[in-house]
Amino acid sequence: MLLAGFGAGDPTLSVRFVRRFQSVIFGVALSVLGDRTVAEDVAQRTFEQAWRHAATFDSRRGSVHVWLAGIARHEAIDTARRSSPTPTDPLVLADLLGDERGGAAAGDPRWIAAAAPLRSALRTLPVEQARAVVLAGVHGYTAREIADHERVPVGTAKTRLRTAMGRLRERLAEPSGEPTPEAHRP
Amino acid sequence: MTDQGCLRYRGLAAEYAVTDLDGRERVQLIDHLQHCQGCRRVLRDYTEVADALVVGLPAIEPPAGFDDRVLAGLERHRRDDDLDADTLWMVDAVPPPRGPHPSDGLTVVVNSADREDTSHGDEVAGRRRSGIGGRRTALRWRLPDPDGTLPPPPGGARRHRPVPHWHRYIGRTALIAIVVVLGVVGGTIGFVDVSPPAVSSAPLPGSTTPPAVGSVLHAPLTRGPEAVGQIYAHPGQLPGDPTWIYVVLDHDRDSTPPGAVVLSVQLLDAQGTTRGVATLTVTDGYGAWAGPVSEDPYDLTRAQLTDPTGTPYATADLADY
Repeated sequence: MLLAGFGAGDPTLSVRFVRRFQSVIFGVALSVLGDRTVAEDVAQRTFEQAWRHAATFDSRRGSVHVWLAGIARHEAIDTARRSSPTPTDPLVLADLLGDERGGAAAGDPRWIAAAAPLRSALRTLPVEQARAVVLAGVHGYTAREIADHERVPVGTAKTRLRTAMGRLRERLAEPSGEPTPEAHRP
Repeated sequence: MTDQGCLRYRGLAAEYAVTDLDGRERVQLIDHLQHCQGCRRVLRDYTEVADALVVGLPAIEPPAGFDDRVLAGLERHRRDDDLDADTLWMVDAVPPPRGPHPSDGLTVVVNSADREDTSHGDEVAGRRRSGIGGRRTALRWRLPDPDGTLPPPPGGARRHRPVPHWHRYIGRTALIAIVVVLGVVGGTIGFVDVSPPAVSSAPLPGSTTPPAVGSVLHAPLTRGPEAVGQIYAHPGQLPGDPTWIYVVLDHDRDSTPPGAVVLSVQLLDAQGTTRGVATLTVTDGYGAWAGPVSEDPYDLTRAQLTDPTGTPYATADLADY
């Protein structure tokens, strides 16, 4: 309903829609780009894209939250590639892998709760696999770009990425989210 | 059952869920997915992992005023889109083969010369009517659509007359031009009744001049399940300004009584008050009326056209809450 009102230009619902999702969108953009000014531009463009394409949203294919986060990620990755053809050091790794008390989301209880299963699953991975999956899944790196960034052969980057995805798939499918005995992190 | 081929494709699927594959691998994977349900299911799982990675990113409040800037930017886009549509609007000089038409004998070309004034005026209207904390807009009154064009003519392609340009590319300025044309020429030609409102005969403030700027609301007119026309409203710019209403019926003459039908245009508000504002002559399924009314369009809940016996001919829902 909020999205429909936003797409139709309803002023009250538009305000509610923007205020409800602005932190999600800005968070994604800032995580990918690391620059608050550029991230704000990207977040604004994300809302414009959402407004233009609101009628195409299909709730059977995911939530509005996921849809918007995906748009924000694509906009941010496009912006990052235009401004810097060479991938830069990602900033979000500390947030996803590190302590809740550090990083951009410091102390945000909503994020800590929402991201807990993912963070728990990421921590079970060898760090090079976790880095590979975050570089691809958040920053949009291709296997070749991961290989360049990590200074490893492309085949190694692909193996790390595929193995990490397989383990995350298994871990996120578990009801408890607890690590399995064989999961380890060197 | 998983064979070696599937194991390879599931590796590709893991990669494809989070990043790009090269063209050859992508084609191979998509080709395989077309006939392997198991691998499609695995790709769905990987896509959920990819979604979790993005949704798991921290939510961070943007700088103060971000929401205002987003909403102002969207309003600019709506306005720009609408102005772009205005530049496309043209009324044909050639009379239609059947029946009267608002553009008979006229050529009106609207360009973007009024862009600056219109932009300013729209901001004024936006603050009063659509700004943050402003009044709640009835949802079925729609602002011009994001692509800057209004819905196609109701009822599909007309068999008895080609769809004119103006009907597809009507924008804010175009509406205003139509209002002017109808107001100035309508009575002379005799196809439109611009008589004063049936109940309130007192002149409305500013009613001699149609608005030059501001946003336009619109809603479909339906007759049973069939869309038969549109109703547009241009809110006044300032307190006391009238609302300009434009009603157009344009549907298949085969489904309408032969000859001319005189309809009453009535507006219903949230308090349940019904007021007749005009009469409209429909010939071969086509008729139009434009004129000022005292009602605030944001208070209206319904418009209806009734025949001389009082039977509803077409209605438009203007609010759904």
